[in-house]
Amino acid sequence: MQESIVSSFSVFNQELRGHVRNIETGNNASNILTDYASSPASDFLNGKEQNVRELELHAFDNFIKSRIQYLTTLTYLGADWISEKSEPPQIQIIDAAKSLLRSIYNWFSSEEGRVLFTPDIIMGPIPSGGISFEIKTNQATIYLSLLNDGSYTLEVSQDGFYYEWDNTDNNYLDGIIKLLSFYGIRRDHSGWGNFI
Amino acid sequence: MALGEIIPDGEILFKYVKPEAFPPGQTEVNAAIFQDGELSCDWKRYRFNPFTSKHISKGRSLVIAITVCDEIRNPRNPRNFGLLEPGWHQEIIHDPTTAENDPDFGPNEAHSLIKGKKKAAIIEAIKRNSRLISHPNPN
Repeated sequence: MQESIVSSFSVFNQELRGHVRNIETGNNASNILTDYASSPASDFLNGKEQNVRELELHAFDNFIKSRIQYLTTLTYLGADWISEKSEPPQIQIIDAAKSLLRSIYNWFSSEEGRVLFTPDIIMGPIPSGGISFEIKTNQATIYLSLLNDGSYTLEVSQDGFYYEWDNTDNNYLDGIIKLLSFYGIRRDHSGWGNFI
Repeated sequence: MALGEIIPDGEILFKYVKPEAFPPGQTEVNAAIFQDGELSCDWKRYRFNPFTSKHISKGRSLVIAITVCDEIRNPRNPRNFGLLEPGWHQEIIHDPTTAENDPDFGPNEAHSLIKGKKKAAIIEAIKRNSRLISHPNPN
């Protein structure tokens, strides 16, 4: 199943690249729309939205796995990893970060999360000790910092405004899911331009 | 060279990071890197080639270039009608170090600081004016 999705995506990519080349060279430019309408890429986008979802989820799964591998390597980062006094993230925080990524993936593959596009995630260590995440949904950016002392901060930025999440309940995953539900981009309210 | 000299807009500051701190393929800087109240940098005026820094030989071989600008120095608060927020002001100064005050690293004529409380809006302003000039995972 996944192989066929990846294969479809390859066809789509190849076709798109072919058209771009045509536009650049001027060859067959007038036939582009005709070619496209009868192409596998067109079938892929017009009639198989489920496949697009599966493809995106498959890519997100691979992304999450690569980030979990990266988190494991942070165990060996050591102190002074940046040009100022800096601490490595503690093992417990690395484990918490892995668990968070798995939970985010699980939520996006659930019935509730599947209606949303998956977010971009920028991450890395914090100089004072910990791991930070920037989770981007096109509508907002959610900032989560898991700190070595076991505390966390959660903020949201939208159109230049910043909002702090109440972090007294010690349940940042619940906060993340609520924020993703609120700020996530729904598939059924989006054209395919949003996907591309 | 003047201790405490204010670094003007348009100047470039360098930070150095171990490539291992970046996830494979991530070309965007993680904003949390900039959250130190005294962000330590090298001023390009005194270190034209950042790859001559001792940080490079110590494995911090990924260079982030920050362009000094008013957006970083005097952040504005959208919740306050976009007016200047005095508590957010960043002092961007030349702070050369000597062998005496940094025995581990030795003298560094280029050393500079971005001083001030780093609220999320300020960290984002620094990030918007930063770029990687070498990448940890070029392949």
